[in-house]
Amino acid sequence: MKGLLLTRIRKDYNYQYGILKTAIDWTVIVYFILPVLFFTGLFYRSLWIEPPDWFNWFDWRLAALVIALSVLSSRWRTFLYEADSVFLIKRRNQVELILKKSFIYNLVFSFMETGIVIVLLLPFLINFLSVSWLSVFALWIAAASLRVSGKALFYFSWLRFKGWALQAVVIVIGIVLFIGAFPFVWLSFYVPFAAMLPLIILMAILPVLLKNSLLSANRILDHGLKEREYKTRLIKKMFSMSYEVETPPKAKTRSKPWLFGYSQKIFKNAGPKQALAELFIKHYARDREFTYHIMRFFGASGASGFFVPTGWGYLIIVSFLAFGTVMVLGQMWAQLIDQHAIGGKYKARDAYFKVRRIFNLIVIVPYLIFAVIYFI
Amino acid sequence: MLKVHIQSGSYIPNQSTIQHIHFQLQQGELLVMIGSNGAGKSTTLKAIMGQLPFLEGEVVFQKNIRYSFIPERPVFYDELTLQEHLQFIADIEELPEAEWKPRAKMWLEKFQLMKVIHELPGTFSKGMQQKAMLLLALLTKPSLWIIDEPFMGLDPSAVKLFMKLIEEERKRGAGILMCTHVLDTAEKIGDRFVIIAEGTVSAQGTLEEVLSQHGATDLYGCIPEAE
Repeated sequence: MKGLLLTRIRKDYNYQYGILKTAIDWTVIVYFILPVLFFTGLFYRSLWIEPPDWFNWFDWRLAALVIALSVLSSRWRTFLYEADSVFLIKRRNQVELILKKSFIYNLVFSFMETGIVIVLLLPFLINFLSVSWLSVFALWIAAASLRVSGKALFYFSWLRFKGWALQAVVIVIGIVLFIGAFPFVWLSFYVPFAAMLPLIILMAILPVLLKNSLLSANRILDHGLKEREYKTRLIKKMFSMSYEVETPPKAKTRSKPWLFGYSQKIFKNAGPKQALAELFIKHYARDREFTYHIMRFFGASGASGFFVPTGWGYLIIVSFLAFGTVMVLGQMWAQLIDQHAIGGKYKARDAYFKVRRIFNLIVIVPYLIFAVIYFI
Repeated sequence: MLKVHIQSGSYIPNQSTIQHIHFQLQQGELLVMIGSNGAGKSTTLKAIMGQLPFLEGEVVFQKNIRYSFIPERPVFYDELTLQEHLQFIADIEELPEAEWKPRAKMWLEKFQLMKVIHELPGTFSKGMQQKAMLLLALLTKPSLWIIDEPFMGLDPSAVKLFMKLIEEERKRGAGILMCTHVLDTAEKIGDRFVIIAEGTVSAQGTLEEVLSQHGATDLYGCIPEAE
């Protein structure tokens, strides 16, 4: 078992790389990825040489927002497989060792991920906010510690709670982490040591607090299930982007939905349009991963209210968001109807096109209101 | 009821997985498609269902026909309960409540699925999922059944029930296109057979016709042996 965790990490990266390779051939690399990298590099360099005017729209809260969002997008990895349960009785020590080592992996990886985010923010921090290198270091420690804590707490909640309780706990943790990031970022800029210390302590005691869950070999099937979910995450995303491919089913741990647990109907009337609308609403409202993404989207949009630019910039952002929302909505419908073995045979029905149009209109209305408010 | 004229079909351009597949399905007929693993049966079904990315040829369904497809691996909506699946199918197919509810209740009881009606089918055992798929198909009283490996995961009593159901559906006038590896059963219940080998039709017709085309004494003799 020596080096097993490292082998699994390497295998996991090879697997994800293999998935990417199926979609990215040399034409995509030459005509898309390399130009994007080149121009992004030039753009980043220009931020260092001459801070752009639009930096004036922002202040320290931009950095805080970026950090707060990065804290929320995190996954706790154990690299255990469901099949490992077969060896649990005879090799419990090794399984526990993998769990302990995976804690170190999560720690190191969080620092690396946060480091990348901070490097991207550096021109803004150094050239515009004029913070010291000590503050940058404090920000890195504070943000990475928050990220580790977030990862651990979200995973802990998933292991401990089910149904409504899980939803509630995840929402509370998300809100606390998101809001909590702001004072820590402020402190790292102005009182660097004060920002670092409490988080270092929290990070140190976290594994002890979560010993019976995150590091528990008894939860091996849960660890394996979550790992399977992560492993197929990228491939599912790619499937969901292709209209030709059926969406693979998700790994499920609960047998009943957490919302409308007794299959209650939303619409009184019965008909194809109501059926499609009900399918869409129930499917996405019950999908925790989706609601989590939506919450992040609204959180980011709400927080970006601090920095809304004036003039045409505002209208461009609103139009861009409206267009993006309609595109995402189209993709969501495709997953349920066009790409699905059950829904596929209804993809040419009038009712389907009508319901899609109605949903598009509904999501565009708030953006129209924003635009009208601007002109008034 | 169903006319299939496939020149070629594939998942990747210019690399045909199936070619020259031509057959028809009549009303009240049970057409069994057989072949070894990887012969092209499921690809043919995908082509019929419009799920094959590259297809040359045509698949013609009788106008306004109501059909049901039962895939080899049962597929459900991740977040819908069994009851909601039934409700969705009934509503989108505009079935009158007085018609579909008693029918659903009867089959739920026969398949012993009543106690899990408010649960997510994705968490059912394989056999229960297969039964749930059958139940969804039964709800619409289809005129055409397209079934891929119906016996997989079913317990003996469910197989018996399924065979009885097939017989009843055939008597009602429904056409059935079925892929299976259970050749003994296929011999007994099939009206006509299509043998697929290496992506094309190697023989088709009644049992006697396909056996004589292959010079075999039973359907096992029509399937190329694994090397």
